[in-house]
Parts: sequence; structure tokens; C-alpha cells
Amino acid sequence: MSNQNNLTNHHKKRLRIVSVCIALLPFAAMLAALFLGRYPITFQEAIQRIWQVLTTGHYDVQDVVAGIIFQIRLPRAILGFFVGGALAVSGAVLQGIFRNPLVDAGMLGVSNGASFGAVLGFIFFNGRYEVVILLAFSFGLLAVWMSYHIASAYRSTPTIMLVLGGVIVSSVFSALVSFGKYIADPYDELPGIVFWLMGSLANTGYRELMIALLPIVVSFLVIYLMRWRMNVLSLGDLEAFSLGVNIRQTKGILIACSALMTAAAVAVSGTIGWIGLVMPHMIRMLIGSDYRSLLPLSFALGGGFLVIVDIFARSISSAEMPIGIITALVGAPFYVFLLRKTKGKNW
Amino acid sequence: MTLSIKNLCFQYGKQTILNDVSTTLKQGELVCLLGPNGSGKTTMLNCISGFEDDFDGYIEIEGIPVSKMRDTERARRIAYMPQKDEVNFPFAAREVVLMGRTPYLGRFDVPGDKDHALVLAVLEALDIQHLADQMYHTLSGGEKQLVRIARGLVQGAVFQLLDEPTASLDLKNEMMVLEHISDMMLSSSHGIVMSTHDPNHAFYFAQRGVKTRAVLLEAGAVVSEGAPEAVLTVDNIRRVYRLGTQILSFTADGAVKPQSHIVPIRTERGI
Repeated sequence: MSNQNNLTNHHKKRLRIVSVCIALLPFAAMLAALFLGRYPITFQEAIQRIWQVLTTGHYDVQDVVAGIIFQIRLPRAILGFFVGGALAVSGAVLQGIFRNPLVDAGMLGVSNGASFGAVLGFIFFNGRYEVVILLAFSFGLLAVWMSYHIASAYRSTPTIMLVLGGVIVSSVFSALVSFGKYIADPYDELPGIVFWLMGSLANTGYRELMIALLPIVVSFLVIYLMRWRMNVLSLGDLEAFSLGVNIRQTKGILIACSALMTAAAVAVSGTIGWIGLVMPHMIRMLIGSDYRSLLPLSFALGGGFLVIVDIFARSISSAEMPIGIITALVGAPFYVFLLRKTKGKNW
Repeated sequence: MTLSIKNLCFQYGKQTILNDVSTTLKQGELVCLLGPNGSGKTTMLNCISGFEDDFDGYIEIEGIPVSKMRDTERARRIAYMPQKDEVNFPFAAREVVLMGRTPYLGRFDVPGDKDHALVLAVLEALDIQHLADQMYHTLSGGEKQLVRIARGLVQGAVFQLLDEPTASLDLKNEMMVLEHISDMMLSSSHGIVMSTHDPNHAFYFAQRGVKTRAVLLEAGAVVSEGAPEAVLTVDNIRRVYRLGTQILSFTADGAVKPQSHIVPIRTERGI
């Protein structure tokens, strides 16, 4: 018995260490993002500029290094953190609600809807950034609304119907995106579209951060407040209902928040796959399925991972690499490694 | 407290599942819900729990319709343990039990120290504290049922609905679950509806001194209800199950009264 207690204590201690490491990851990643990149900035230089800002509250406008750190790399790193976190959390929430490990926000049609919105922006508004973001965001939400509408035509098991509705809406928007690519000007418009579709944080700054921050933070807070209810939902509809959880309302709020935060993320970064699907699994395998820790740690891991990937994306070659390529290339082997090590035991 | 069911009818499409069912469940009483597959036992429990709300008739606790209660208000009075267990995420048994406190938490609340303490107390009372830190989905069928019973106790509802709690358990685990249910009845005044396929369960509870009533369903209607001996007769069972049986009487070691036991003899094929 005491042996078993020691074992569980040891286990708990290990879990705590892993949790703390994951929670610190985004901070380390964002710090690294400040001095790593094509323009050579040393660690000391970065620390010195940060110290200057922290102590005096401003930096020298003439200083190129400080400009790169605070005007380009810092907003981009913070944005990467929020986008990655949003994608991972919405994946965690939707996988839980649909009791399906293969689900992420793309399934509700958000990604394809947002992509079509962006394509419209590129073709009809010359790819003006604000317009592309706004259209992507609106069409992302429109797609979810359509999926929901198709689903509510049927009275039984609305969540399964929502998956079906999402598949239908996704494929329609996917076809529309292809059509947009087909009619787009191959020299002026097509490269922008293709680059956007592969996902990137290139040319993002405080403007994008301000746009994406509010929907992501608010949605995450609402989802986090409902963490215990999400645990109860894992018991299945019938048991959760008998424990006094309003199934329809709870799932509705959670799906709406996931859609909102994904639409905001996709609108500023394009479609970045893989994070929403895989980051929550990693946390489930490493820490467990209790949403009280799953939600914040998914946010931390997804956010930290995207910041790191973005560092690679802008450092590997002189031209920016699309993030979607790297997330898959880096994430897949690591996921397989984790799967073999834990034998996928928490799913 | 009394839970009354009046003229309950339920249709699924054009098919009638429950046809004018009326019965009552009093605090301190255990109702064994019996009937062949498809006779409407689970549907009836789903209706009582409030999960199915598309029925005709009345389901009330002390005159208040269950469908009019707020979700948490209802959950503090009625606990439901469905037959199928859908937990497919890894949670420690302790946490599964802790979920029983949900009706007492605000929408955004998380269980606190008092809730954790109550969980431990209930686990100890059921003598399953060794399961607390084990992962629920790795437990055996019998252990899972005990954990779910613990959750029902933590939920603190007077009325407990148990849908075939002994389904697919081996002999010993089946007995263990029955013992815990009768202990629960004897130590506090719950009102339990338990659906089951084994009519002998009703005799077991009666012999343990639990105030037991049997309700026999056939095609969504009550054929007979009352004391187990009066309901579970050879004739009634032949009529409902198309099965020939004999009723034996035996006195278990240490028991004072004899207990009936129904033994199936042969099916009435082709009728």
C-alpha cells in the first residue's frame, strides 16, 4: 500500500514537472523568437533592449535592433502564441464534445469558409490586408452557422449532424476556393492566395494582434470557465444530463466559442493545420483528460509550438516558408514518437 | 417524498413504446422493473429522469412536474445510472465520483475541498477507497458499477434510477452490486427504480428486508405490480416471457425466512 502510494506520489510529481515545463514553453519560445532570425541579433543584445524597455518604458527609435525586436518580432511572437493556443484549445474542446479524436475546428467548416473569404479578398480587393482578414473571419463564422443550420434540420443527435453539416459546407467552400484559384490572375493574385492557404505569420504586427486578441481571449475565458462541465460531458449525454448539465446549451456555447477563436486565428494567419488536431492529443497523453489542466496546457503547447515553428519558417531560407509545411514535417515524427512511447494509452 | 407517474405514454415515430403507465415510487421503497427486451424499461427510466421530455402524461415529485424543474434542481432529486457507460476518456475513479457534485456547483464552478472530502467518505463507506486513484476506464465491470453507485450517493438524490446495474457482470460482481444496493436502501431512505432481467433480484431484496415492489411490463404497459410474490408468478411469467418456470423455495445459510427462486424450465416456442 505504501509502495503504491509512493508510486502515485512519484507519478504526481512527474506530472507536475511536465506541466510546468509545458507552461513555460511559450515564454521560452517567445524570448527565443526575439533574437533568432535572418537579421543577426545576439542574446545579449536582445536582453539589453528588453531590460531597457522594462526599466525606462521606451526604446531608442533610431536603434534598428530595438525596432526589429519590438516592432516586428515581438508582435509576431505574441500573435503566434495566441493563434497556436486558439487552434489547440478549439481542437481540444471539439474532440471532447464530438468524442472523436480526429476532429478539429476545420471540421465545422471554419477553415474552408475562412479560406474562401480570403480568396475573395485577394481577387476583388487586391489582397488588401484588412479586407482579407475581415472576409476570412466573416466567412469562417458563416460556414459554422451554415453547418449548424444544416444540422438543425434534423432533430436527432445534433452533434453528429453538425459533423455531417460541417463536411458538406467544407466541401462546398473548398470547391469555391478551387474556383477562386482557377479564375485568379496567375501573376498578381494566385501567389498571395496559395501562400495564405498554406498559413503564415509573415507581415503580421500589432494590428493583427489587436484584431485576433479579443475574440481569442474572450472565447478562451468562457471555455475555461466551463472546464468542469466539460469533464462531466465526458460521461456521455445521458449521465451528464442526469447530473444537471444542460447538454444543448453547454455544447452550443462551447462550439460557438471554438468557432469564434478559430475564425479569428485563421483570419490573421491563414489555414495552419495539424496544431488543432495533435496538440490536445499530446496533452492528453502526457497529462490526462481533465479539462482543468488540459485547456490551459493545450493553449501553452499549441502557442509555444507555433512560435517555434514560426522561428524556423522565417529563418530557414531567405524567403518565408509557409508554416503549414513545417508544422506537419516537425509535428508528425514527434507525434509518432509520443504515440509509441505512451502507447496512446490516454485515448 | 413520492415520485408519481400518471398515464405515461411515449411514442417513437408511430411506434408506441409506453402505453398508459401509472405507478408511484415512495422514499424507502425499491421498485424492480421487469419485462422482456423491448418492453419499455429503459424508455421509462429515460422519461422519469427527464432526458426524454416528449411524452404524454405526468411525472411529478410531490406535485411538481419533473420537466418544470431546473436542471440542477432535478439532478438533486433524481440520479440516473444508465446501462451503457460511455466514459472513454481517462479519468481517475475519484474524479468520476466527484462529478456527482455537479448539481451543487454553479455553471462556472469547480468542486472544492468539501466535495473532495465527501467523495472520500462515500468511497470509504462503500469500502472501495483503493479504487480512488485508479483510472476508471481500466476498472472491471463490477468495480465500475460500484464507482457509479458511489457517484449516485455523492449526488445525494433521493430517487435513484438504475438501468440493469448487473448487466454483463459475473456471479460474484452481480452479488456485490446487489448487496451494495440493498445496503444503500437499508442505511438511508432512498427510492430506487432498478430495471433488471432477473426476477430473482426482487426476491433477494425482499429477503434482505428491503421494502420491495415488482413492476412487470409487457409491450409498454404494466401487466402486474405489487409484492414480488404476487407479481412474479408462474402464470405472469409465462404470459409475459412465454417461458415455463418453476418457483422453488430455499432458506439461505443464516437467513430466517425462506426465499423464492424462479427457475426457467422451457420456452414456449412457436406461440
